Amino acid sequence: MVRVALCDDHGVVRSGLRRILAAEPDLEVVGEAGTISEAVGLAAAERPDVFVMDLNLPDGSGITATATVRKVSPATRVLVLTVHDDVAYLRRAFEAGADGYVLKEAADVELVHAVRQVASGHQYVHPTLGAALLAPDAPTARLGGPGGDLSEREVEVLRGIALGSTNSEIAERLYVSVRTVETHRAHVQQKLNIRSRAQLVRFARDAGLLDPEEQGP
Amino acid sequence: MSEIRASRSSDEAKSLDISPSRVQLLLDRAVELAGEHDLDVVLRRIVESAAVVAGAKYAALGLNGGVGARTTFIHHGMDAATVERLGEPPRGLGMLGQVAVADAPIRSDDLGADARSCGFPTGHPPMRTFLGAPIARGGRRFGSLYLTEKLGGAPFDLEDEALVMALAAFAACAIESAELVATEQARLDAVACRIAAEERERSRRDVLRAVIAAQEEERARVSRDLHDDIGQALTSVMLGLRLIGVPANAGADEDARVRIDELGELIAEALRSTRRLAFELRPSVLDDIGLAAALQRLVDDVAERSGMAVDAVVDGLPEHDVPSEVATVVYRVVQEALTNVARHAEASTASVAVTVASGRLRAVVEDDGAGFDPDRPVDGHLGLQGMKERAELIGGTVSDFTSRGSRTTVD
Repeated sequence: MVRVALCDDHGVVRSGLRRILAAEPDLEVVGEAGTISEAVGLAAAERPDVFVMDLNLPDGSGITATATVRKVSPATRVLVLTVHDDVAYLRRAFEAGADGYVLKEAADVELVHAVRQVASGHQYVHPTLGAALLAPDAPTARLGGPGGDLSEREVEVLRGIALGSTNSEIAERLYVSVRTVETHRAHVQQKLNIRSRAQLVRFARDAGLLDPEEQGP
Repeated sequence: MSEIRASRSSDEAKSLDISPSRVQLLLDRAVELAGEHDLDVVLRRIVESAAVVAGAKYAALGLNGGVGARTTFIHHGMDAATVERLGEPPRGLGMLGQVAVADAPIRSDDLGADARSCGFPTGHPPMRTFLGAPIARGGRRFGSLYLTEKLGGAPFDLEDEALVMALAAFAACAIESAELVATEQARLDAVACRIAAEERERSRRDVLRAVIAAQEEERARVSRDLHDDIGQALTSVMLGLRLIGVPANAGADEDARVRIDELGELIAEALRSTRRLAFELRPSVLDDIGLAAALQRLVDDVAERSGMAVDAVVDGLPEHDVPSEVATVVYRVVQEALTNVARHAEASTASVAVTVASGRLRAVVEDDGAGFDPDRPVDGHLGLQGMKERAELIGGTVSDFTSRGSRTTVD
């Protein structure tokens, strides 16, 4: 039997969740909380297997509640149930110790499955968010690596772009024309197979071009 | 006995015995002039005093251009009806013109017979005797005094000339000091005007800042309410429907099961719409997590809706060190720029790069489109001007707003 606790500030939502979970023969709801402090008290008293946690709580964020619950009852696993579909919330929640993340819009079909997954030691993430989490980042390459044979001038231009300079500002600094800067930049993008300014910045950062000692005077 | 020497160096010049009462009259008038600083009043007093001091029926003052930025002809002794009848002031072609360019006084016993005169217009009262004198000081010519028709019928004499020249000297001083006062006053007015304008600008900014803060606060509140109230209510309904539809509760009615599933999908859609509305008002991620996460979310959203490939990078940002006001401005400006790009630039890719270097935050939005008119605000959006104003409130600037990158710089 999986012992489940609920934390959501909305009573009707809690009772709906309770009834859905209670309808499953292998799940038992051991308590409900509407605030962070109630959740922490409940976790300490009942030591549930799974805590279903909303992120918007009247006395703070469910992310804080997650961390505190995990602290007072390390064996309790937290499953976040929220309206927020930003990957950023998901990351924060997992950093705080959560093991599952379900969107409220999918609560009716995913919740029971997610509770079982989390209870059995797995992690569960709402499918579209999981995909976003795994989305490829910019190509990470090293300056000396494949495609990284940039000339000194091209490196200077790349660093300028990464520091937020305009082409004309870079041109002024390097004593060359704006068109020359544009040409250098085009070469950089071609050599690194990079399409956007954001990727250039990311590449420069990963390659250590933005490190203080690299920035020069 | 007073002795006043005529300035004109001619064989007529000699020591004059001028009656004390006339000298007294001149001095009274001079003192009066010295106490007046309004240029218009000064000019009228000069003309009137000249008539009195010289004992003339008519007096006039022709002012050179440049004095108080005016060319004026002020007269005394002519009745209003006559002035009306004559219309325009004299153009200075005849005797008046001679005086205007002369360095010394000019007298005439009979204007009608004088070769230097060019006659009078029709309806001009008869004028026979004439005395003209320059008003000048320190090499600067202010204008000329013209006196005609000496009372008693005699011509103007050297004594008259000497008195008028003395008055002209006082007149020059009075005009000059009135000008100085006017210049100083104008300078003070300009300073006061500038201070008032700065004050207005400051208070306008204060109001703008307060309005923007109130607007953002209200948006955040409504956004939260959408999540907390509507979102929670919809979630409750969805869970309720699910309870009706769970196998244990469901009857044999397959049709009802299908309807419940459809309703569930509708509610899920309503939840997504609620989330979208809340996001568009003010993304809670901006307040809960920070600028980088909010921008990433914005970029994903724009990409999904516009079909453009959009990416973003935020580098060097001390997340908890960016004040909320700055984060809001950067977010709104980038949002505005991306909206413009998506709607007008016909671009296929756009890129947002936020970097912090040497204590300066820079956000550059770049696209590969055809460009657009940055001054044309999209309905319901800030427009370039709105972006600039917002940025200025936090000491930032928005520049280079073209298709090849709009930049927000915040120091």
